[in-house]
Amino acid sequence: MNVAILQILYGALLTVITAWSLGKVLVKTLRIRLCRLEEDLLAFLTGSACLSVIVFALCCLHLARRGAFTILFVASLWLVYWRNWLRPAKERLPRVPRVWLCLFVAPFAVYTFLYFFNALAPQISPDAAGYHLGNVIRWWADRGFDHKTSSAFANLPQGLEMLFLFAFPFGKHSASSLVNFSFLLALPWLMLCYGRRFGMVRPFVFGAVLVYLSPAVGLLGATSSNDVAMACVLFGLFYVLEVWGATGNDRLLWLAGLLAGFACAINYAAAMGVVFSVAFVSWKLLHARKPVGLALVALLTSAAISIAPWIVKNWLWANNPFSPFFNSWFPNPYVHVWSENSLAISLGLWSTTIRQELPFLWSLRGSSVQGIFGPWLLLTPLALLAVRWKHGRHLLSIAVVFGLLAITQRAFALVLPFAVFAAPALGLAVQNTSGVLALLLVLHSLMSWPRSVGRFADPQAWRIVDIPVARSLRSIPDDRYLMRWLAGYPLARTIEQVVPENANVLTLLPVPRAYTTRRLWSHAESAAGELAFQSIETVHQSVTHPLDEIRFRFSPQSVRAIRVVQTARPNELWTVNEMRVFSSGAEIPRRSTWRLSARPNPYEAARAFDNSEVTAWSPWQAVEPGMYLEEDFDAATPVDQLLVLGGMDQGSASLRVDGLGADGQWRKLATNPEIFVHLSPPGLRQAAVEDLKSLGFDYIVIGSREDPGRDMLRYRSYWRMTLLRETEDACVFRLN
Amino acid sequence: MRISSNRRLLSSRFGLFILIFGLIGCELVPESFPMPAQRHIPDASDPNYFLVRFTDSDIREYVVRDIQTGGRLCWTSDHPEMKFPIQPRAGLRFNMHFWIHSRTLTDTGPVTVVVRINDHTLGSMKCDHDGSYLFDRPVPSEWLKPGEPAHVLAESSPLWISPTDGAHLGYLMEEIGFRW
Repeated sequence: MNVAILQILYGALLTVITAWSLGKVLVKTLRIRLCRLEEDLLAFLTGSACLSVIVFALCCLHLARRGAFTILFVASLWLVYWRNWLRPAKERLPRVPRVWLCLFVAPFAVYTFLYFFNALAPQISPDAAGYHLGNVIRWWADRGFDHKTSSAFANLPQGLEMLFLFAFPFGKHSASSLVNFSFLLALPWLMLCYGRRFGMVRPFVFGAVLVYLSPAVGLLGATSSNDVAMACVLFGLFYVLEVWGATGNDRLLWLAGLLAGFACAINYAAAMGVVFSVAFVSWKLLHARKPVGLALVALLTSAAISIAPWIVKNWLWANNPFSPFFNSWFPNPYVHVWSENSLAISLGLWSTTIRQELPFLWSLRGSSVQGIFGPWLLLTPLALLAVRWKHGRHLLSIAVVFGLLAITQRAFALVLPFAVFAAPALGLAVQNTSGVLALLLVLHSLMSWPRSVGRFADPQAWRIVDIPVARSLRSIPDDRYLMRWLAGYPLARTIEQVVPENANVLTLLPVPRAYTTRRLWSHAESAAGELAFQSIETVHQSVTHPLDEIRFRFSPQSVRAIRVVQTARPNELWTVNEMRVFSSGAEIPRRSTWRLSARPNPYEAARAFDNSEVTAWSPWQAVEPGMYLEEDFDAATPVDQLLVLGGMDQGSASLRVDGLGADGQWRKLATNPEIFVHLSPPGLRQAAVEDLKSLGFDYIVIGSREDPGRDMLRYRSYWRMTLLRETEDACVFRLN
Repeated sequence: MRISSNRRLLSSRFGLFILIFGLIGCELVPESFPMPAQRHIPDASDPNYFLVRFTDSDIREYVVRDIQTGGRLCWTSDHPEMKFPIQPRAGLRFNMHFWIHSRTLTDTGPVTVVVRINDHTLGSMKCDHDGSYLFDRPVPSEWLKPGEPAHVLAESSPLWISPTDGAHLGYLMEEIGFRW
């Protein structure tokens, strides 16, 4: 067998075994009695949560090294061996009838073969090669976290990526995807265990097979993404809570809390899991007239163990505990409010798809969404009939929450948790109709095979299309395969070759960051990247969209401060490239003692007062009346004119100038400005590059077929850039 | 007694937890910032131009009529017209790179290309051989209006008429726009 394959398998197994060992230690230490198989599965999930926190701590200490990971593996396994916890639990769950066991195992085995080889193949999924593994490779290169905010994606909680990082040094990208694959494997068995424990084998065999065979689930489970792991951990949380509800063992709440926190640490979308846990525990205890406080403390404290490190990290480094979201609540200079929508779209937490089309797209077509679940998803409304059973009501309560959120937010990322809870509920609903479960199972097994899916899915739908045996077994070298199939891979390798380590690279093209160790700053994923792009665009658009000169004239006034205020709600980004004040026709020279402020986004106010037309202040969020940009003088200063240089079509007419009088009162000075087209002076190209350098960039990667990249290629001496490499459609420049 | 002390301990931990979250919510944003160092626009003589090629992805934004798109060289027909978001300024020149095809030239004989900008005739060029041509003329700034696009009409005559489908073909456009 190829050495690379052994390394991949070793990396993945090392991670899974370490997680399982840690979980076993936790379960046994808490003296929680579980049955065979369910104990191992829940140990794997809770151990994953523990491992994730430990790797987080190692990253903080810059100890994310192969040696540290190996020691952790050996120590955890040795502890399990030494305490004699390797033996499986004595108690067994009730047996599964032979027919239903066959109906579960046969499709499971066949589709596992399909998924395994896809997980083993080189990673070409855009999300995996972009930010999931892109962050992992950076942490690995730095041996831990780097206090940088080059990408808003790096601020997401990355509980699962911590496990990817554990596997990465040993087996690189495919080892990480196999770690995710292990959650995919665990999910149907966990569902089966649940069915066995609570006497609902048939509905849960049905639900497990529906979910496991769904094309979207297989696809997401065979790449280095986090959706399947989140769904699996959420189901584990539900499982533990139900066992707690049935046994009354309060120690289970520590496991439940850990899983709830871990689900959040995998994806913010799983915060509903914490809400559900709190509601479930409170309801159960109040119903039984027992005290709620201690139980909730145990639940929330253990949840905090998993999620709090990420919140604190974001709070300290990004000034926003919930970065990259809620930036208007927690203003910071690192992520613009403006970027949140595009981030939510990238993460599948929001989309612009027409709501009525979503069930059809998610179940059958798969176009413009991240996957297809199959026709069974259209039957899920029938699951409401499961309300007759207690477990049906519990399943439905969580499924309905995720389902409604998925539809209202048009969020694909929430469909998977919905499916995991809706599928067994559907099984419960139709279990008494003879033959229906088995018939649907057989149909679903046939219709989920890639060739069958191709018959009803959109040709552009993202799905598994084959069993890539040759690719997975590395009969085709990774490099050759990725060159052909992963967009941007040649560019990533070029960057690796021509850019030195530790240099900051601004990329105006999507680059699969998982295949370069260089520090890439996408122009769309950070405030600094957006500012740099804005400067370049100002140069590029100085011809087609020249700036406006917005001049306010008013009777001479002596003011301590002056501000330009937005009075309307124009549907564009408001930008102010320069703001100047005049007295008797001459500009009042700026003094170093003057102060600047703005609302919102005061951090970038200085960009409108730096004497450069290419830099600008913007609120970077939807414009609202009352937003302003302000200049505070050190003493009362006579002024009679204010000039704003800003972007065109921004509702310039809706601006107003206010002045702060000696009495400390703001008064309106002028409205109805004169507006002229501004002709840019020469030298803007070089000014833009100087701004890029002041923002910390050393290199730029840009498309060469269109402006502004084409202009940079043609007139690089005017841009003061050196061309390092030109690929088919992109260029790498060094800023001189 | 033990339960009570445990409860107190847990309650105090919970209080600390709430306090931390409260502190997180109290993020301080500086009220004002100092005046930055003043930058100097470099004393450079940048090349200034607005030229479009027919390989540009946004080329359709500039074509008004009678020019095919989708390749490096694109055929014109009866009244090829384009528009450019260009502002009046001193030293403006109109540039057009185009090609005369040997096949059409054989049938039509020498071709004359006449360029008009905003209904003003800029000039003409006689093309008596196949191959590439550059039309380059200064543009009076008063022909352009601030905030309005410049319309460029570049007609050729005679046109070649396809014997099979009757299509009218003029010349092949490669790059067109303004410099200053």
